[in-house]
Amino acid sequence: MHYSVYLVLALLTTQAGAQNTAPEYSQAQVKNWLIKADSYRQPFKSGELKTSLTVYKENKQAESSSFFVQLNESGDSRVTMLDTRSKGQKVLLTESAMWLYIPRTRKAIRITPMQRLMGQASYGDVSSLSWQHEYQWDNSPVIEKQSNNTISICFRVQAARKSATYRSINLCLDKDSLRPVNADFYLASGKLMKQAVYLSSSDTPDMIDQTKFMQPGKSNQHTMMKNTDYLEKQHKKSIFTRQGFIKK
Amino acid sequence: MLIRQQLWFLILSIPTLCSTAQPVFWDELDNRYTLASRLFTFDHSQHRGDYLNENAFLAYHSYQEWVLAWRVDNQIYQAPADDHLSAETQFELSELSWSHSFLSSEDDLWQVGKFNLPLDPGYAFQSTAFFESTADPFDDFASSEGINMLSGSLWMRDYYLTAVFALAGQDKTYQDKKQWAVIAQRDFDALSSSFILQQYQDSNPGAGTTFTYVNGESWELHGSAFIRKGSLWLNSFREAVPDGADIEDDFSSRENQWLPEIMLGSVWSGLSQQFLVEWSYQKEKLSAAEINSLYQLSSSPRTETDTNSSPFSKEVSGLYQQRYQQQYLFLQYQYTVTDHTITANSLIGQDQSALSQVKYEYLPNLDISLWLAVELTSGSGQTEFTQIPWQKSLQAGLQWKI
Repeated sequence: MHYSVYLVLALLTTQAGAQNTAPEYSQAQVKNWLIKADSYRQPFKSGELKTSLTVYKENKQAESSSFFVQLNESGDSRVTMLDTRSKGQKVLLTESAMWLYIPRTRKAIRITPMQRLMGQASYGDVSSLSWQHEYQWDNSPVIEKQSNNTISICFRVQAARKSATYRSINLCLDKDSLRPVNADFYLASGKLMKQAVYLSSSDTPDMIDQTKFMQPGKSNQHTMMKNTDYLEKQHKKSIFTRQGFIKK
Repeated sequence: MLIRQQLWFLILSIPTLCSTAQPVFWDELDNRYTLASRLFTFDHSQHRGDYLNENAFLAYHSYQEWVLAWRVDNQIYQAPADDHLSAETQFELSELSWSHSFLSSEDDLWQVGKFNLPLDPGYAFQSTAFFESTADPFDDFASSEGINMLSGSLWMRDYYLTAVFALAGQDKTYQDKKQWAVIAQRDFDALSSSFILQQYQDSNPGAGTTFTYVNGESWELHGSAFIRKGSLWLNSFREAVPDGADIEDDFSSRENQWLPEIMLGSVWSGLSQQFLVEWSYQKEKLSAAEINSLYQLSSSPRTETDTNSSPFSKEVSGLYQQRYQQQYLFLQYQYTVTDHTITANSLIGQDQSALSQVKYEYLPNLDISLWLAVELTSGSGQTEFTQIPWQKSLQAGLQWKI
């Protein structure tokens, strides 16, 4: 029920909303919006969860992969691949870099933001569930969009960290609750890379545990990211270092 | 004989595979297996014939602080002189190690046993790979055998400090030499760096550094450098070169010099393509003039069967078969569209000979990949890669991750 409502709401907000420029806002205010918006996707500062990515082609499930994600309060994350093809591979996302550990070579290599978008899964989407550490508002106008009696505020954020996956994101949040509604992700060239709609399962209406990703030009295909098994937990600092993240 | 070898291969593989069927017992155990089979055809007959079937079973187990990795390789071929198929099977204990943190903060990490300690960021060339297996970008199933060592590491503020003592070196020249090193690693924003002091038994200590840097969305730069006074490789080579060779003086003059080794590389990545370039320079290896002098001494020094008629001793033939030129360039281009990947690799020596590979890989699902690869050697006259017994090989392979 909630799933459908949010999907309809999100699509309407993206495509058909009436647009108004809202009053001026401060950096601190927008930062607080991001912090609140993050709380819907990542309900703890430090913890772990399981993520699955399922690719749908022509609305039929094509393939699926799963990940174990650990996050800390500084916005660092460690992702462990659980599927056979990539089983044992790990990704570390820190403030300044992203590292990929390939078990066959016993080696961690530094990867570029573009590399993390290649292949079957976008490591950047899986490893980052918060915007507050990686992005900041670029002072562009905050636009209000209205659809179905719901008002969204939409604004652009730019990468504040070198390790951020996308150079800029156009974000739309529900004006009252600041719950993320949808987002457009852009590369440095200005190319629209991906679009996302944020959804909730019926049993967790106050949390965003599902994200639908769509790529421009691939209308018959989408990817669903689903997060489960959330657990608040403190991690050892060393597992978020390039030497320690390959440890068990 | 052939059936016995195959049985051994199956005996070692099947019980291990069966263990995955009992997840209750093995919850704490992380098991990973890869079964690969590939068929090679060579355009020139060699001692194993024109066709070769290689099968490899790679296993990795980890349980709490223990890691065990092993592999079984099986090769089936028909030698030109034989009228029957022959088979060889090798078992390799790649790694067996125990690691532990003694501090409650877990800011320390100790490891003992047979393992790899990767340090160098190079994909094809490595100047500081003293404790890790040699990179081979042409072969996804190359051995990754570790060495027996003890290492202790400590996170101290922004630094990661490691001391390591190994009972052997990785490379042929140093495989019977003990070695030690101290390593400091630190990240400066987008720059990740390492500094190393290392010494082999009977050799001078040396110092080196590595770095990786990412610029913007697509560019990664990496490199490593190491410098040491004198060279055991060069000494071994020099001792084996016959008297009267006019390169003797060149070797002697380098005996007391600082001999740098440098690798610089870059990766450019787009959404579906990736380009890698790496260049390496090793002053201890042979310059173009020295290589020419050696070529003049022997018409085919790299052919083992000709060793008796060559001016080189058996020892120098062994050294000569390693990468012996001062400069190499490695280029790699990769294009990926969903489940299909095309990779082109080329390793070019300063004598302008090259080893190149084009590989097409198809990934029909998460567990299986299939590939076709062509390898070619090129170069004129007596150049390094033209000494490989075949000029062209075709490879078809299948990999199953279990």
